[in-house]
Amino acid sequence: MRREQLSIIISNIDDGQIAEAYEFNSAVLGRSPERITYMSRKRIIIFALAAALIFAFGTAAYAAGWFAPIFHSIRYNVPEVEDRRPGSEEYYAELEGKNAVMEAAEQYMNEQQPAPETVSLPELDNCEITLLERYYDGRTLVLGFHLESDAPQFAATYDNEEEIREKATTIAFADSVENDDIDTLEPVAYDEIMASRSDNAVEHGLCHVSSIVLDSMLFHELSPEEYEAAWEHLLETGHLCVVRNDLYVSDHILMEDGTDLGQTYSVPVYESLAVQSGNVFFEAPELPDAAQGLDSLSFQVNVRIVRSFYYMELDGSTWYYSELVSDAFVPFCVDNAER
Amino acid sequence: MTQLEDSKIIALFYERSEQAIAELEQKYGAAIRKTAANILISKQDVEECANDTYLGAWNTIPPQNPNPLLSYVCRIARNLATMRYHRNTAIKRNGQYDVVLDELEECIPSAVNLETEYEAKELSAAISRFLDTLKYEDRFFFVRRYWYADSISDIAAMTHFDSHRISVHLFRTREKLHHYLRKEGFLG
Repeated sequence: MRREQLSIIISNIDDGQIAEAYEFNSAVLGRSPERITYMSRKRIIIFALAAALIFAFGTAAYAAGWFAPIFHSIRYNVPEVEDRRPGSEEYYAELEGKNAVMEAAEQYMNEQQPAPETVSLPELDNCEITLLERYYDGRTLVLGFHLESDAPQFAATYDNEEEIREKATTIAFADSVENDDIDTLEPVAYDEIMASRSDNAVEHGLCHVSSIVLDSMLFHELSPEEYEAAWEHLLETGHLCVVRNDLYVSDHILMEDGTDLGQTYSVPVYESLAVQSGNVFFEAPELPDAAQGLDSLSFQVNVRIVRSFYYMELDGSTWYYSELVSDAFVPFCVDNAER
Repeated sequence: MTQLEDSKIIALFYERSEQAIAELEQKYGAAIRKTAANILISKQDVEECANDTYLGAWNTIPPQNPNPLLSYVCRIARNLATMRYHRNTAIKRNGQYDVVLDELEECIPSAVNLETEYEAKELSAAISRFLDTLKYEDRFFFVRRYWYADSISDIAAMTHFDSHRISVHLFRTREKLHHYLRKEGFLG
């Protein structure tokens, strides 16, 4: 496609979207089209009753509000018929079908109230996975999980730095930066990155994109004391390693015999699929034949911890190494709601 | 300084009052110039583009009765600026807007072959549908970056988000858009 054509195509996006982006409105920050923020009075009462009942059955965490309801918050944005764009009937029909499943799932949770199941995983930094909500109608499986871990997502570490340096072979690029060589960077992009440097990065002359980005990550993710300690270590020894732990549920959900339940759509209810503490929603809309029409479906989810090591030397060299540290398969079962 | 409501500015255009241009410039002149300046380097080009935008509004209202007026005039400014940009860049590339187009080409690659105006409009509509599915901030970042052609640092200043975080969000959105367009059958 010619670049002129690309310009025109982007130019012709919806007027409302252009107007919306004229000014930033922090009041709607985080609002997702999958979420409905409106809650009717009737629904509030239903949830209050459900919470009280669950508390009575001893699932104190749920009732205490640790876990936000997931199915309730998942709806796909389907415009009114008169506002729909022509030629997209199939797309809207697909979304309406998903919404119908989610409404049935929410109703099932309200009526049947299957108790949340929590499994502790000491081998995974003592994390806990809770199957908070579940629904299976013989054709579709939808699941809402809560993951909890005390392990910090970011930590500056000073152990085994040399060992990690030996393993690390991939330079830690910033997203969309394919080459850290200053001479090959687009001048404008490089100017922007240089302008975003922290005081420490300016003072000590960091000029490689990867090290500037790594320093920015440290600045935002560590406490001020940890950040200062990390820089002290960097200045003393000339190198530093930062570890990022990503705890997540794999989007490959398996039957007991290992059959993959197929393409899974996931919506992290919180910011990122990799969560230390948060809710994750999965929808498997096209189950394989072996998983359809059963009285109950037994399945296992794979909980994983991936550890990424960002190694940095004061002269600007920055390296990246990532490995699967541990994982566990956790079995669950869901009854067919239509039986 | 009091600014007229959009409907009153449009009424002035319908009355063929030249005050319409003055009111439009007062209310949306800065937005029009910013839209053009994100694409064009030369200040003279930007000013000429802004003046051409006022003329474009004068020539099209009536019969048009745009709502919202802001996006209508910014769209005119953007179209004029990109035409001028492509004319200029036959000689020399402009860093910032080239970076924007380079990024877009990651998710809408040159392999896409649109033979008719109808197909191009369908692709625009598909991108709009995709944007409807995004969280507010991701849609904001995308439209500011690829429609308004803002720099990452400008978006960071507007939103108080970290520049790196915005880059990461945009990167993920481009990946999602690529996946979406493939699913919708636009990519081979």
